[in-house]
Amino acid sequence: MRHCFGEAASEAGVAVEVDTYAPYPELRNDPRLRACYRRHAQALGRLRAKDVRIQEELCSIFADARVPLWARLLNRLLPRLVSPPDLFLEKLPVKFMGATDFASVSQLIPAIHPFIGIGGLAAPHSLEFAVQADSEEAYRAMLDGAVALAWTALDAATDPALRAYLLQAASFSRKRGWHT
Amino acid sequence: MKTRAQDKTTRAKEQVRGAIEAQRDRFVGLAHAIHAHPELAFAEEQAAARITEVLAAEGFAVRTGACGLPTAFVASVGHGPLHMAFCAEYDALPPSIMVDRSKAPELMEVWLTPERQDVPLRHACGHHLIAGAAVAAATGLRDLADEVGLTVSVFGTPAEELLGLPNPPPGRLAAGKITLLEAGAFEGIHAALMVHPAPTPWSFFLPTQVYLRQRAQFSRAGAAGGGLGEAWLRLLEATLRRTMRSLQQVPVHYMARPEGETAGAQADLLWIAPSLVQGLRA
Repeated sequence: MRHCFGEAASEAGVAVEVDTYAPYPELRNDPRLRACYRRHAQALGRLRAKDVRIQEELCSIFADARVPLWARLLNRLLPRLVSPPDLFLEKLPVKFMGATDFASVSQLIPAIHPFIGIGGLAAPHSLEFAVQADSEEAYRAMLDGAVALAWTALDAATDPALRAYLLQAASFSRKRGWHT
Repeated sequence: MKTRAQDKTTRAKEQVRGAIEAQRDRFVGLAHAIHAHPELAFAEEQAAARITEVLAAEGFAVRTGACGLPTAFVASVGHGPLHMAFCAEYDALPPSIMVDRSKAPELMEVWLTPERQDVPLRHACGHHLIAGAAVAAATGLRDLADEVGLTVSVFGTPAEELLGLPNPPPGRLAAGKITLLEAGAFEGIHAALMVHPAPTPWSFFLPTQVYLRQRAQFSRAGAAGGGLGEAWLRLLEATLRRTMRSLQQVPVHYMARPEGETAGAQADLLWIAPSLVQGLRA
């Protein structure tokens, strides 16, 4: 991979100079902070499981004749057991992928990088998303996100177990040499 | 005993929410002002100035130009032993500069930068909301910080979009947070938090991808100004395509062709794949 440009250059008989940028690694959400944030997002009505659409989705799935009768009955009796609230949480109506330099931070210290919905279906980096991001709904999402983050920090400070974990986990070392 | 502690926590939470809602207009105004003046990676001077102004007025100790980045800052309040950082971002980018990612990881369109240079700069990734949320969260905690043993910081981290820009600023090979990390700005921080806008009304966690970008400048010895002719460019593009196809990992790539017969060619590879970083380091 590293020689891709070099090979092309030598085949074409030209000189080449290559700049390699610091890569964005994979994001690592700290499981404990993530659980805190999720609880707060739920309290603020930001978890998708609360929406009626999720119920419709579940109904249509369990109305399917391919789902065994026992599963449909069980779903009727114990809906939370068969379809826990988080089941569809990560399923989005739009394709949404990306990378972030925050991932580098998350590799070194406990961190969370949740997403908060500003409404609409436009993917980030589109003009529609830029317009949507200036709406009343977007600013409501911003404030809800701020409250959920602040509550997470408050949990970190007041929950003795979480506090001890974070104070211990801070074995921070400088990260150097990404371009070696 | 336990219920008393819980009551205390509930009251603290309400106090935090109250503090954020009380200054709602201020935070929304800040984010809206950043949105109205989009600035490119590493050039977010107005945005950084606006944010630090608000934080200084709220009683935060502000250090601007952190770690040699003019538009980076660190603003702190409280003296507790547990140090929480909220990361703010505030760089903008031209919309749709990224290729159609719904087709990943197949090879995507090749596009030429000169045709896209009229695309206006916008907050197409909504980073003004990240800045607003970081400022609001930190300000909401300010009055409680010492009481609960917290130090609260807002990290102003420029240039999150570096790898996706058609023309990244010259000489900047690492995004803001990576530069800050390498300079040790996150030393002593116990946790870093941020929230990113997304479509839909919901909040969720999602894995992100690994990005790696390489930029190559091709030139021909002996040609005027080291430039390449049209024939050379065609040959180079064909060779690049073939070389990349022969690799296991298929990148998203685009190629810039400056106008004129004598200009050199510049090509960019943006790789989206897991395990590339490990491969690079190995």
